[in-house]
Amino acid sequence: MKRGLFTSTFFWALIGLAIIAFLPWWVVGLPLLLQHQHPNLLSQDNYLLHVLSLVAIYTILAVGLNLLMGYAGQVSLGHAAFYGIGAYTTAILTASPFLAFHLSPLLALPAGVALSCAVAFLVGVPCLRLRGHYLGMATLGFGWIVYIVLRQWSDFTGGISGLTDIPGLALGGFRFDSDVKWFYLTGMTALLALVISANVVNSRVGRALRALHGSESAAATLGVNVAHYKVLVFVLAAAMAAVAGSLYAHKIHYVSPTSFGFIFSVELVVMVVVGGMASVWGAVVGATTITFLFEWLTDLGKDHPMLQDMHGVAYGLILILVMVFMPSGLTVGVRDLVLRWFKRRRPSAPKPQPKEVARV
Amino acid sequence: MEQLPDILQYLISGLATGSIYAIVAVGFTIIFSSTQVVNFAQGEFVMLGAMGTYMLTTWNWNRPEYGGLHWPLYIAVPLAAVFAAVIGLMLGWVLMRPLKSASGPSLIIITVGASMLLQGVAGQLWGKDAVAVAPFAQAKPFDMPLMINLPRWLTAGKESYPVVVDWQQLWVVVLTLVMMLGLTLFFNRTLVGKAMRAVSVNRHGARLMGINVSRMVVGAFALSALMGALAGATIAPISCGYYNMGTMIGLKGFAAAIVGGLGNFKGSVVAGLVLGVAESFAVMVPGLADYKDAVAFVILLAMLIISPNGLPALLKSRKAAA
Repeated sequence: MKRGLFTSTFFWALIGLAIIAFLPWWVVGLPLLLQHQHPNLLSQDNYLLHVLSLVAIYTILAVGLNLLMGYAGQVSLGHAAFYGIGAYTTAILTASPFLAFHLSPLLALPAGVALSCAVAFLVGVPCLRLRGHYLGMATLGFGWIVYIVLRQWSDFTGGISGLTDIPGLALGGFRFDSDVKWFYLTGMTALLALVISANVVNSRVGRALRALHGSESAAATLGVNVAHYKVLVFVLAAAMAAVAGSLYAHKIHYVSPTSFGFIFSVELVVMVVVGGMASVWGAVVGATTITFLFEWLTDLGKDHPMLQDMHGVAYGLILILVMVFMPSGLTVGVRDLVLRWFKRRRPSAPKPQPKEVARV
Repeated sequence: MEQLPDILQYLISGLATGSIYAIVAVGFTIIFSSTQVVNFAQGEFVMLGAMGTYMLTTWNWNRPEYGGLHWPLYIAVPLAAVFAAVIGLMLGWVLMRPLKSASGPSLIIITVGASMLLQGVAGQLWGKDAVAVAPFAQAKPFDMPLMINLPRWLTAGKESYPVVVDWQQLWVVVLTLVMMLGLTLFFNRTLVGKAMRAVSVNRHGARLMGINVSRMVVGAFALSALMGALAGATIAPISCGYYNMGTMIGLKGFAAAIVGGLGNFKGSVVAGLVLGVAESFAVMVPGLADYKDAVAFVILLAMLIISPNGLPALLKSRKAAA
């Protein structure tokens, strides 16, 4: 298949790199320069960049879930559990008051990813061998179990009040202690996750996934090992979630079970739905939109007590409206609408019409 | 058998909660068999029943000067159930269009969205605090719980404390029995019920026989919403009503529906009761009480791993193997 500029991963990765590199300059650096100050950009703090770091973390989550929902055709209603496993593994290994030793964050992160992958494998193998949507149900139950354990096993997880004093990340002598540094770190990780996903989608695995999304039986007759590929994607999504969780724990320095409950799992599904199923780069749009919507709704609730906690209502409406009117997701749906509109405006050279095929 | 009174006590409360799970599981089953949709908003119907009853009997719009409605229960409960049925009807109607084209995941997502929406609106309307809902019978002798003294031969000759049964728990069990009987009659004896069964067996075949499939699908939603709301109004005096009570009840009912074999009525009822009792007994085990809510999900996960088509399929395959 010939691939143009706009469909190449390399092109989009470069654009993403440029945006990530320049955003802190635009948000913090330029205003300071205009005031004739010479900022040490890396040590600046900025609320917008803090929120954008969260967007990047959620992008990592959404892109993994998108692979699962858009390409493997399976819903995970407990994806926050893998995020929680990543975050809590990091938190417990680096800062638990109940452990005699503390690991370096650089060792805790792989430990969280490994645990998350192992658990995803154990849950995924039996459920993904079956047809239908058993994975959604299993992850839902699994998500609740993880949440309840995080909340109740207080000797180990700190219970409902969570764990505090999680150290920040440091690479050698370089400490990530400002919003700009965190933005660069999370942004680059998110970009890496996007590129990995795009490559997976455009590889043999991705073609297999699309085939089995179309028809499992057809894919199976063509020699695609259906269960194998589904488990692969599920484990990959869990690994990405664990990385995101670990970054989150180090960034916020605090974890509590409420961040990893059912509501957050639904929030992740909303991100994927808004970003568009089966569109890797749409995950960025989804994560950005929902994070800023969340911040906006929180502010709105502060100004108008009547409108407090409207998040659930907003998410519910978005899910229903998007899924009823644009089942392939908001970004993809709008893109298709725009493309169709352009085509109608400029009827270009007549396309070669397929020959009439006799109806069976 | 010193623990016998305890065991009976937990068994009774387990059966009461289990009855609710059973009703919710049957609601899942009704919708699943006619549409193949797993309706994650099922628990919200339970919440609507409980909060609707609360609104009509005690709520004063958070303004004491308004006084509230104070309607009698025999009007409030049916009205709340009808209200929930209308909401269920609307959900079925919203799902009509995607049902024809969309895939399973997007249908599941729509019901999850409906659940979030209903919960959010309920939280806005009735507040986030748990509210007490009046028990069904308050006059004597129903104002005091039933005390049952065990005969001596059961307690090995020792003196034991009595088993306490709340009248409302009996109401729950009676409601479940009546509902199951009513459903059996409805699906076996009435034309509409038979038509609904026909739709669940074969949609195209049903359409060819002149059955209005869309109407049956919407009807299935309304029916299971009605049942859920009645269950909610009945359990609320025991467990209190709150805006997000539906999540847990719905998910546990869902676990029961899976364990009972999705689409299997009898299996759902039995599985619901078993889950309720298992959860209740988990409290007796030292150290497990904190994880009571996880019991249903552990059973669900184990079931999906061992035999995804539920307990009946597992038993049948054992029998076939033997």
